[in-house]
Amino acid sequence: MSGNRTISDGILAARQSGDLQPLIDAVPYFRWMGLRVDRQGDELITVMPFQKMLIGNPMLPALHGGTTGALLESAAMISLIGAQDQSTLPKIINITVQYLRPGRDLDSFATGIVTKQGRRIASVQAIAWQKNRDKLFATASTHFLVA
Amino acid sequence: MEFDLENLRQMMTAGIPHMAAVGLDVMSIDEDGILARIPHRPEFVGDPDTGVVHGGIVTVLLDSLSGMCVLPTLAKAMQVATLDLRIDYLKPAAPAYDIFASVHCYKTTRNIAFTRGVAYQGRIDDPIAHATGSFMLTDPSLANSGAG
Repeated sequence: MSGNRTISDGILAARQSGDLQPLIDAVPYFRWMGLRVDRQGDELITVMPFQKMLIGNPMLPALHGGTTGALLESAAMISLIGAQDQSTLPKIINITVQYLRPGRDLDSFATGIVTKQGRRIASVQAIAWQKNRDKLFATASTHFLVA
Repeated sequence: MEFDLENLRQMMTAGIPHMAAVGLDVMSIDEDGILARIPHRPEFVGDPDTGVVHGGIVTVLLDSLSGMCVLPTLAKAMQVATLDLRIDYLKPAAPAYDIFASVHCYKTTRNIAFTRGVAYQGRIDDPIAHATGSFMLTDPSLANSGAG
């Protein structure tokens, strides 16, 4: 074990610079999924650029539901990291994803709203959209262990 | 409905880009449930300090199997669209091991199917995650637009 250096250093650096992208780039799965983080004011928007390999239904075509879940989970965690003081990575306890309509073959965006920041547990609601932010294609309710 | 495992494997690996991308390997499927695995790859790591796989891969595995396990329980082919999927993460995945999952459909009504299952590495009775899902069923002959 390397003693949790990469992530805690990355979180500290991200907090100082306000840029979470280096932290995203340190996580192999985020890199593989091509995730990006855009800051808009005090909001962190996680972007999942469209790639063919994200397709789960080639007929429609539509994104694989698992990739939508992964985007919402990632956005919830990224928004939580941006909102809290800890330098440790929040650990996900559970996620409930609601699928509202198929995710199309377009870039997807998601953000998390920290609805409760406790000492040990944080609750985060996440929303995902594509072209139009008023037309969500999925939402999620999540809990994280933050202690 | 009867399911030919080889046909299904072919469909998953060649036909569905994201299942091919994660290397989903369906090991068995019938009306009692589905068993499959995602072989470990370094790209799937979520915490570079520990090597633990990201929850997103567990989500993709459980989401895929939850939808697929409904199909053999239906009397005729229906469109299956996910309404919701809840995943409880019970313990961290061990680094560098394949992730297995077993999911079954425990109830179908005219419109809805309900599923539950687990993801695990060593033993199925010591799971890393538990999932429950609900799915909307649509008769393709009555559907006017593609749902899901």
